[in-house]
Amino acid sequence: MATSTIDGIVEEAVLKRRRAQASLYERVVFRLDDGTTKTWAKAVVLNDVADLVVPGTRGRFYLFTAIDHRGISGVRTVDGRAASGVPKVNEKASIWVIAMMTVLNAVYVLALDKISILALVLMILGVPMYFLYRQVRVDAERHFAADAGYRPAPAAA
Amino acid sequence: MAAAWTFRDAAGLATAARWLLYADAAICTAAAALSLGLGADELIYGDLARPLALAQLATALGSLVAFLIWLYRANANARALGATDLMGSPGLAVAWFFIPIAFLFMPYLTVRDTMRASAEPRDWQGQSAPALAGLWWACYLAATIFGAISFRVVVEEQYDMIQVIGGLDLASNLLSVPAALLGAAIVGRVRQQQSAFSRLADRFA
Repeated sequence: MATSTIDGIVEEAVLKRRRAQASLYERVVFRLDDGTTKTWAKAVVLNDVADLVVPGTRGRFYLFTAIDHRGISGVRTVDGRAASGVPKVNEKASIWVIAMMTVLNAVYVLALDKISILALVLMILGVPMYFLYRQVRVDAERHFAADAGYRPAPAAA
Repeated sequence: MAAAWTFRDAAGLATAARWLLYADAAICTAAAALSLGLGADELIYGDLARPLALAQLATALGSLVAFLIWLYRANANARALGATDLMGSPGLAVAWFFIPIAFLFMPYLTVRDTMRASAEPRDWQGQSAPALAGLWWACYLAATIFGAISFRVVVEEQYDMIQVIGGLDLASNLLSVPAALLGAAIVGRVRQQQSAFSRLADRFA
């Protein structure tokens, strides 16, 4: 859907929960270089990236917004560290929904000789959802890669 | 690339949506009062049953359509006022009401975010979630669920469950009243906040 970049320092990072691969932040508050603040609420962040999202980290932050969630897809710090990535959990969930609803409808047809309308609608909706989630991830990865030569300068960042 | 949104005053839309929501609240109040006063049978089989059902259908559909048109405009206006990073699009904000499973929670999130973005467009995610949105959605969702179950029982022609249908309809009507009034309050608040920001933007333009 949308990607954006901000330059600044992490002022506050309130972690809601951390799983094996990704973390969910209640909010991350950035102090931007122009002195204003920007809050990024309910942010999903891969753990590699989350390790750099701690108060005091200064650099460039790459943000993304999907149709039903948002997150931080990359960080480049002033001391040269960098990490990027977008969780694939929603893409996988879409595939699962499509597969499960297909199986459910097959069982319905074979056993009851009718179709579940709800399963059919979910199966059909799963397809655009998968492509929308995938597009967000691809856009975020491209966005980060396009900035490959960038190194935040301590004075400017 | 994010689309560029233009602010358009939604005064007319907001007024229409609010009056239709008030009308819906009034009809639901009348239906609940009749049900309590005359009994569930009267509301289903009585002389008033048909005109009341038609009036309820008209105000429920009318207020929903007006609210959704207003929501599209309010969401687009919040973006035009500088609220970046709102999820989805104004069109999707409306579409969530019709997408299975997602309609259980996404309409709340879009209305909540539209309210937060209208209160402080620049750093809207730093705003706390307005209680009004949560209350409205709780009432609206519960009323819809009770109404849907009642409708399902009627469709299945289980007329021996007339008291259950009456109870479900009464619950649905009683919850629809605060849902409609809270919806009207949301429309009014967002319209007021967006107008104030628009005037401020014009002054500094």
